[in-house]
Amino acid sequence: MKKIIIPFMIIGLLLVTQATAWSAPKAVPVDSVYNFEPVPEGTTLSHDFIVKNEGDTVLNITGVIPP
Amino acid sequence: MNKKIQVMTDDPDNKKFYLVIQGRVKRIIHIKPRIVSLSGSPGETLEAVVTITPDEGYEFEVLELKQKFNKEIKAELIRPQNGKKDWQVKVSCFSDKADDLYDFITLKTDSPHKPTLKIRVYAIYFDQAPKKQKKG
Repeated sequence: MKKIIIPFMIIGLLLVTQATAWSAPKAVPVDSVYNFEPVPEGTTLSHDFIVKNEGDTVLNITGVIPP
Repeated sequence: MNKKIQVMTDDPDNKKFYLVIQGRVKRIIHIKPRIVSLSGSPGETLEAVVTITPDEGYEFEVLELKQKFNKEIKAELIRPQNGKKDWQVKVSCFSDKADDLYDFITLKTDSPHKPTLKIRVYAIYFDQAPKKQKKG
């Protein structure tokens, strides 16, 4: 009986290890382009970009470089 | 106008991506010329007139004219006249020697869209080459 259980345990352990190795954040910008209507110069525009995390661990935004 | 924002993440498949802002920005105040370039000989007074025209609906008042260096280059503000909406800045400069002059004119306005307007002025006074005298 022991002989049967041990291989299953090893396979189980391998699967868990693999699952851990595959888990990662996945950054998905909802709409990466914002088209605004014509505006007079000097106008301040505001827009929120949404970045979804479709991965299975926390996504970190590590940096933003403005234009 | 088209501006790109670079975003960095710890997503191994998407470590870097761009967000884009784009659209048309209407120019509402026209400055002609935006840069004043003058040149002449020492002893000459060099002059130019800059015209500032607002688009319909974007009229403004100039509240103040400032110069950065305010030395050899002079600037005079001329208010709109005869029902027109054009403001003018009369620029003049003088030097009695070969020289490179530069100044920055800043106009403060009551326009919420353009509270400041900037005009750059360059003036070059060339060294006069000595005239050749004929013998005889």
